[in-house]
Amino acid sequence: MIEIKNLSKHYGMQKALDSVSICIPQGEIIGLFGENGAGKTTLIKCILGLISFSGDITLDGEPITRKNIGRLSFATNEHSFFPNLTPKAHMEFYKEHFEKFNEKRFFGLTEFFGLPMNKVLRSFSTGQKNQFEVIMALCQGADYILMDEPFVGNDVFNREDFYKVLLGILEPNETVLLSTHLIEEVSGFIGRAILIRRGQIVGDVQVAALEDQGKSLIDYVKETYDYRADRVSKALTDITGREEDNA
Amino acid sequence: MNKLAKYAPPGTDIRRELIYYAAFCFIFIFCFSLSFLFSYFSALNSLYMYDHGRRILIEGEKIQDINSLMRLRFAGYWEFAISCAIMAIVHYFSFINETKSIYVMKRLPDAKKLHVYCLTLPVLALLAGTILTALLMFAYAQIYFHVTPAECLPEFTGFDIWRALL
Repeated sequence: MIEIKNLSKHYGMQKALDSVSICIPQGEIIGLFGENGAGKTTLIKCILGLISFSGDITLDGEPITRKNIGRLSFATNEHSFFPNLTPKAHMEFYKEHFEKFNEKRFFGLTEFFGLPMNKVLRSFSTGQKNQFEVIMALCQGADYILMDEPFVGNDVFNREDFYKVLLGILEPNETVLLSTHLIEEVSGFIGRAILIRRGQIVGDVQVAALEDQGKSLIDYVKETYDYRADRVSKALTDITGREEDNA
Repeated sequence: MNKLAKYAPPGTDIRRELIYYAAFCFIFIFCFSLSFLFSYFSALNSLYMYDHGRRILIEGEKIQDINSLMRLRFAGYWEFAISCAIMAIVHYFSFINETKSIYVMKRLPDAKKLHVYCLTLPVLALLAGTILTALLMFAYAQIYFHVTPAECLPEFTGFDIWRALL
């Protein structure tokens, strides 16, 4: 379990995370939602130790160090692959450094997405680069797979495929923390939703519990964020002065 | 080449990188140091006078001592060292520029890998440059002591390497 206690992060005078405390047990698929600048990426980077922070983050009670960092993998829209290497060379690199690298899964996924094995990543399309980024995170052999907006630039069919594949291949002990704006798209397969706003956790809910209440995830998100449904029509009325047309 | 690739940032064009180091070595160490030969042969010539086309050694004339002839002839070594340091920085930035592969490097169980990838080739190149510098100094000293007529050599009080470098 990843346990986060009183996690705070400042960028200069600006508070990016403010006393965040959450637990991420093994075997869950968790959606991390929030507006741009809410602190999603910062939270993930703190977990991975990529940036400094104050507070405690532990993995099964131990601080996250080089000893156990292999249990975490990361897919980011910034891309973390080596642009001059081919997928095959990446596989060799990961095999050398991560003892649990899942070669079978790697071949299965690269074949499924039709990624060329002997072309350098630099020459891939944005969609293919995203696919490869996620593939490496899924194949590293990590228990916790952290994904930060991994599907930016992928078309809807591609994303659908990925969600299906993701659901199909994950082992019960694998955990996915998926930061995304595509709330409705992922609502069908995440088990838990964490909402973050201005660096604070403003919602943490099991999707099944929402369903029991007859609420959809998007409704819950809108409610938590005080989303004003009439704000678009009001704005249009102000701009155009035509109340009836905009209603 | 393949073995070296294991010590450079993944995807580095090792051949091209070796060409860079060889070029830096050639320009900063070898070419810079050639000025010693020009100074030396000019000093050697000044030991002679010409009489009806015949070269005659001037009696009692001594050649400049090796340390003053060698002064700053290897200052290019420092430029070479700076080039190697820049290459190490370029290696580090290769993990940040096009993609953020630094995130993978920071997640590797072996914490030293990033340093190994950034520093190994520049350090090896610097070592090679140091050896080349030493060999050239030795070769120039051999030329100085063996080509100069023995009676024109001043008293040798020791070789001052730092004078050649700084």
